[in-house]
Order: sequence, then structure tokens, then C-alpha cells
Amino acid sequence: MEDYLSEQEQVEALRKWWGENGKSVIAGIVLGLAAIFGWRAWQDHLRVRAEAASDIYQELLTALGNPEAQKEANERAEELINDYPSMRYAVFAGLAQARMAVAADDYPKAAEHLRKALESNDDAKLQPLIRLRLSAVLTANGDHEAALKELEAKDPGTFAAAFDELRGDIQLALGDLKAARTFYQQALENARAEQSDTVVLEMKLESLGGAGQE
Amino acid sequence: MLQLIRDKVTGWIAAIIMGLLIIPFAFWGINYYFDNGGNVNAASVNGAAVSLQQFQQAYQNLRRQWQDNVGSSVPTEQETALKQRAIDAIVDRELLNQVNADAGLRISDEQLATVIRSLSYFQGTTGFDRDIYERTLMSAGLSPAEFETQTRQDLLADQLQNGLAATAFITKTAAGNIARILQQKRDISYAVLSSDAAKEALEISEEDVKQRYEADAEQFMEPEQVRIAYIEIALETIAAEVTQTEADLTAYYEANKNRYNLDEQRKYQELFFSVPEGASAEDKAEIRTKAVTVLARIRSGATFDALAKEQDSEHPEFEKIDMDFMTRGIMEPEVDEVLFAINAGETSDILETKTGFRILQVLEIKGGSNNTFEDVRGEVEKDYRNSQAEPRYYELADQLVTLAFEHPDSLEVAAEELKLPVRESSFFSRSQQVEELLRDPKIIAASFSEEVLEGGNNSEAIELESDRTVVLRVIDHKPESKKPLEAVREEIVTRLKYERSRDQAKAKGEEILKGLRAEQTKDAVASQYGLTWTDKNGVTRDDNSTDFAILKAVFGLGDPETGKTLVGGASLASGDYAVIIVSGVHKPELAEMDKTQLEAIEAQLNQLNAINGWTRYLKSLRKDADITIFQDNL
Repeated sequence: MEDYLSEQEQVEALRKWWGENGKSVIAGIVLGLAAIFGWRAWQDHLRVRAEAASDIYQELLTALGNPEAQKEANERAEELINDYPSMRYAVFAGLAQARMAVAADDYPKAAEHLRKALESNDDAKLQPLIRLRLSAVLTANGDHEAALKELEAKDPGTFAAAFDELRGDIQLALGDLKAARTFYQQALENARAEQSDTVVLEMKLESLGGAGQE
Repeated sequence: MLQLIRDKVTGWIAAIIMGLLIIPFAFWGINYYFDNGGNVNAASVNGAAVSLQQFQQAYQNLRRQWQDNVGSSVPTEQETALKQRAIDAIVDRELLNQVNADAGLRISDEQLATVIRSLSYFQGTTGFDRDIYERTLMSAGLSPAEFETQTRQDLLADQLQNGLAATAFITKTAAGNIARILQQKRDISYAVLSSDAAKEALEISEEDVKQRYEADAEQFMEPEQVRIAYIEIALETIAAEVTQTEADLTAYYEANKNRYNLDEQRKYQELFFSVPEGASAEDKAEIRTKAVTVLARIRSGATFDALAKEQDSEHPEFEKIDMDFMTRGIMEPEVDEVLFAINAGETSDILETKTGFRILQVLEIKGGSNNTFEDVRGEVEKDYRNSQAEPRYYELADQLVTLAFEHPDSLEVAAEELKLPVRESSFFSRSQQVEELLRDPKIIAASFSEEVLEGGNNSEAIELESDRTVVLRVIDHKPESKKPLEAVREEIVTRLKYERSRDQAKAKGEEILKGLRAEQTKDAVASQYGLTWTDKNGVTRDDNSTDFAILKAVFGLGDPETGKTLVGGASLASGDYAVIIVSGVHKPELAEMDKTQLEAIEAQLNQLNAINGWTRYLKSLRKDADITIFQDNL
């Protein structure tokens, strides 16, 4: 590196450097700015989309709670599923549709909604809950084998007690009282350990002769 | 100097120095967070810090709730539990924030604004009031930005929760199964084996009593007790000593007149002759004639009550209405006009209003120009005395606090200086007190506090309701102790007799059950053991003519095979034993069930599913999260 240059020489050197590198510098700056603004625009776009979905979801919830507005609730849910398929709101919409189908006693339709929700949901902790609901719908529809299979498919996590209770229900429907009792007992132990409400479960077990027969 | 640096620092040396400089600058931001993490955070959730401030806010909220609900400050032994609840709440909150961010849930500024604007505590007379908003937040120690962030987080958490809970359902099949279990009826027979005779005959040896006394030591503990000495200052006592002249009272009354100047109020009764809407002129005239007749009778001495009583209750001509004290402006103007024109005891003429004809009678008048000093004298005297006593009360309370603090070993100094008596209580425990004063939770808390009980010091001033101040100290202390055998012998004997006679009845009952299971008939059993059977058909779960323990057993026996009966037994609370036969089970078909009842069951089960689903999801979040709680900081 040269230490002492006259002013003239310095200017000259700068010019020369600019002549060689100017274009790349400008291109770099432009690219950099484009990247920054592009990123921000993209983020804005995502935010606006999420907020729009959130608005629709809020409308869905209001309609869902009103027995008179089930048609509107279904429309909002459809909208979320079709226009925002990759968002969590679409999963909730599917769950809401399943609920409405159950209310209308259309179990095959409810199962369809829940299967779709299982597929589009990417929150692993939510999977057991959806699976449990799917299995309950299949049970109500009389597809006991399929219902059992759903319960076997994956680790139930914190839903173990609920899974066992439903297994008990299914076995009871299939006429295997002994198996039903075992599952209910297992569920009761788990439910007591996690301190959840066991009144219904106890009653199911009792009605199978789980108590009083000393 | 700079030149020197520039000369020497070139090439790789420069690079190294630059490199060294980059490190602190680049990591300064993170470093800052690390420092915080170790020192002033309440917890760390999946690497994200939860600040001590958040914890304190949650804790303060819980304390306030406690105070609102219980009416006293949080006792020391509850603090740990309350802290745990606060930490759980903020950890859950942080977990949900993280989940919501991952899930891509969002609340727009407009949504947030709409919600905040609709909150009742920020409403002025014309809707949302920015001033009230800011003032309310300030008094809660929050900036609008903090509040808005928190509200947004709450709304997001609601969205997630609703996604799981509001979509929960119960299938008709599942609900129907439960409903059928719940609403089934059973035909039963039972016979009760009395334990009384055994109870009488049993001899309990001293050996057995002692053994039970040793084995069940916990049951026979006497709780910790204290006796306290205290000085009490009450505004009432001081007020009672105030001397007053009549002139003082009238002067006080004049000075505070508007406090006693009630608006005039009138209590009255009315007879109301309703005229139906759209009644013809003739109908109206007819009703009026009836009213005139009634009025004439009142004028000649009939009372409202007597008139109301004698009319035909199936087709009443009028209605008698009693009105409590009314000020002007509550009733219709035309009623007011008449009501406030007549004297007490007088009856009005017939008054026509939009809905019918009325006859009013004023019963009593109070307030207004009728309000004399004499009417309110009692109240004035009380207020006057209190107002005179208040400075003295606060002065005394102040001195008491100072003296009790300066001489923490005794109340005597304070008592002498202030010429107040030191009173002594009887023994009391945390849960049982004889004297009224001792039942106040503040007194109990102070008496058993470390400072007073173990430190042997005077308590701080305890302010009680209705302007009383108390300072106390413990003068006697009994630690928790085992009650002497003599005191509990009877209790133990009764208990042992109960248990043994119950077991005997049960043993006999089970023998009978064995016989029944071996196809012995009801009658054969009855004559062999001297039993009387009670037969009941169609018993429901909530049948209140049957012992609860019997019902529980009846519905816990399961379903019988066709053509067979079920046999079971149950020990009753009295120690007796019931032998039970279930001969019929009737489970209703869904179609036969009461629709509203079925819907109520469905709603409850749905709710249960919603709650269970949500709590289990929350639990799974907690289970997989990396949560560290910095207990030392709390």
C-alpha cells in the first residue's frame, strides 16, 4: 500500500477504482435494497393474509355458536379451507365443520372433514385430539374396526386416558364386556393420575358391574 | 498518534484487531439477554425468558383476587401456593404465545382496537373514552403498549382455545349410551341387617383402646393454641364519652343540613281499575261508574283492604297496589300531581290515566319540609359524636402504634400512658375461637405470625372494621399436643364398637349373599335369618326414599343376564348392612327419553369433551417444553 499520495493522485485512484467497480457496487446496492424491500413486502403480504384469515375465523366462531347461523359458519369454514389451506385456521375450520356434521348426524361427512384436518395440520400435539374425534365419529357410525385402528395408529401422548375410554366404548359396542372393563379401568387410573374429571368414566365402569359386587 | 497506528497496523495485524473488535460488538446484544436470563427472570420457556415483572403482575392479580374473595390479606402459608399458580399461569401464557406464533395466528390492529373499545371498564358516557383508558391502565401500572400486547396475546390464546374447545362435540350415540345409563330404572328388593344389637353387646377392652390411641395418633391431636393480651381502641367507645349540648347538635345539624335534607317521600296505596286498550266509550263509562261506587264506599269509611278482600277473586273489578316511599318524578306526572297534593291519611278523587282509573290514599309522609331536626336527631347525634371523637381516635391509635413499637416486650407502657385497659383472651387455635374479636382473620394471622408468636413482640397495629384498632401480644402458648387418653377414650370406644358391629353385619350379610347366589330363595333366606324384604320397582338413581349406599350398589352391579337376578350388598353409614337383589333393569330407548333432558346431558358431555381436550393439549405443550423456573428470583 502506498502511503503518501498527493490529492490529485488520490482522486485519480478513486476514479480509476470507481471505473472498475462502480457498476458492481451499484448493482450490489440495488440488489441489497431489493432484497430488503422484497423481504418486507413478502412479510407484509403474509401478515395481511393471516389477518384476513383471522377475521374470517372470528366470524366462523361467532356463527358456530349460533344455532341459527350454521349455514354461514359452513361458508366461512369453506372459505378458510379453500383460500388459506396451509394455515392453522384451515385446520380449525375443518374441526368446526366436523362438529356441524356431527350435529346433523352425518358421521361419514364428519369423518371426511377430520381426515382432511389430520392431513393439513402440522402441529404434532394437536394430532391425537383430531384422531380421537375421528375415532369417535367412526364409532358412532358403526365402523368399530376402523375406529380402533385410528386409536392404534400413533402415540396418544397426553390423550391416553381418552383413547382408552373410547376403546372401552367400542369394546362395549362390540359386546366384549371384559375388554371394555379393562380399558375403562386403565382409563380411570390415567385420568385420576392427571386429575381430570372422572364422573362419567366411573359411571361407565360401574354400569358394567365394576362396583358393589363384593 | 493516529499516524503511528496507521503505520503499524496493517495487513494481518489489522485483520486480527478488527476480528477481535467484531466479537464483542456482534454479540453484545445477545450477551445482554444472557445476563438478564441469569438474574432478573422468573422463568425460561423453551429458551425464551419470562420476566420477573410479568410474574409479579400475575402474582399481584392473584393476591388481589384473594383479597376480594376472602376479605383478608393472603396468609403466609398460602403464599407459596399462590406463587406457584402465578408462575404456572405465566408459563402457560408464554407457551401459548410460542404456539400461536408458530401456528401463524394473528390479530390485526383493527380487531384489537374493536375489542379494546368494547371493554366495559373503558366506557365513558358516550362510549370508549381515551382518558379513562389511559387513567385505568396507569393505575394498574401498565402502559397502553403493554396492555395492547397483552390483550393481543389473550385474543390469540382465545383463538387457539376456541379452535379446540368450540369445535368439540359428543355424538348422539355416545350421549345416548350415557343417558340410558343415567335414566335407567331398576326393580329391587333389599333387607337391612341391623348392627345395633352387636353394638350393645360388644365389649371393648382397655388394650384395644390403647392400641387404637397409639395407632391413630394424628386423629387425637390438639391444635396449637395461644392466649393473647391486647389493647383495643374503638371510635365507638370514644364517641360515647363525648359531651354535647343541644346547641352543639343544632349547630352541627345546621352546618350539615343537606346531609339530612331528604327529598319528600310518600308511601301510599292505590286501587287500580284497568281500562283495556281500545275499550269503547261505553265500557270506559261503565268502569268509571264502578270506580265512583267504590270511592263512595271509601268516603263512608270502608278500607282499601276490606274492599279488595270482598271482591270476586275470579273476576276482580280492580287491583289493590301497595307502593313504598316514592319521591317526585318516579311515577307518571299526573299521579305525582295528586299524590303530593293530599295530606297523610287522605284519599284522592278518581284519577284518570292512560291505562285506567286510580284512587290513591297517602299512608305516610317523610322528608322534605316535614323533615325537622327532631326527626333526624338520633342520626345527627351519632354523626356529631363520631366527628368529635375522630381526632382523638386517630391520635390514640397513632400513639398506641408508636408506644407498642418502642416497647415491643410489653403492652403495659402503652396501657399506662394511654390509660387504656389491657384485655386478655381465652385460648384459641387457628380454627377455633370463642370471643368474637378473635374470629377476625387479621387477628388470627397476627397472633400466629412468626414476629409475634416466636419473636415475643407486640404486633403491628391491626385495623378492624367499624373503626377499631388493636395491638396484641401472645401471653400464653400451647404447642400442638396429643390429647390425653382420658379425653378421647369414649370417642375411641364408640368408634371401635361401630367398626366391629359394622364388620359383623357385613360378614353375616355376605353369608346370606352366598346363599342367594346358590339359588336359595328370598323367602327361605328371610325365614332363616329373620329378615324383612323391602321391594321397590322402577327405582331411579336419584330416588330419595332409598339409602344412598344402597342406590350406589344397585346401580353398580352391572346388567343381569336375561331371566336372572343380580345380588349384592352395601354397608350403610349407620353400620348396618343391606342385602340387595336386583330383579329388573329398564333402560329407556332414546326415542322415549325426554328431549330437553337428553339435550341437557348432551350439552354437559360436550362441555366435558371441550375442557378435557383443551387441558390435555395444554399438558402436552408443557410436557415437551423446556421449562426452567428460577425459584430464587421469586
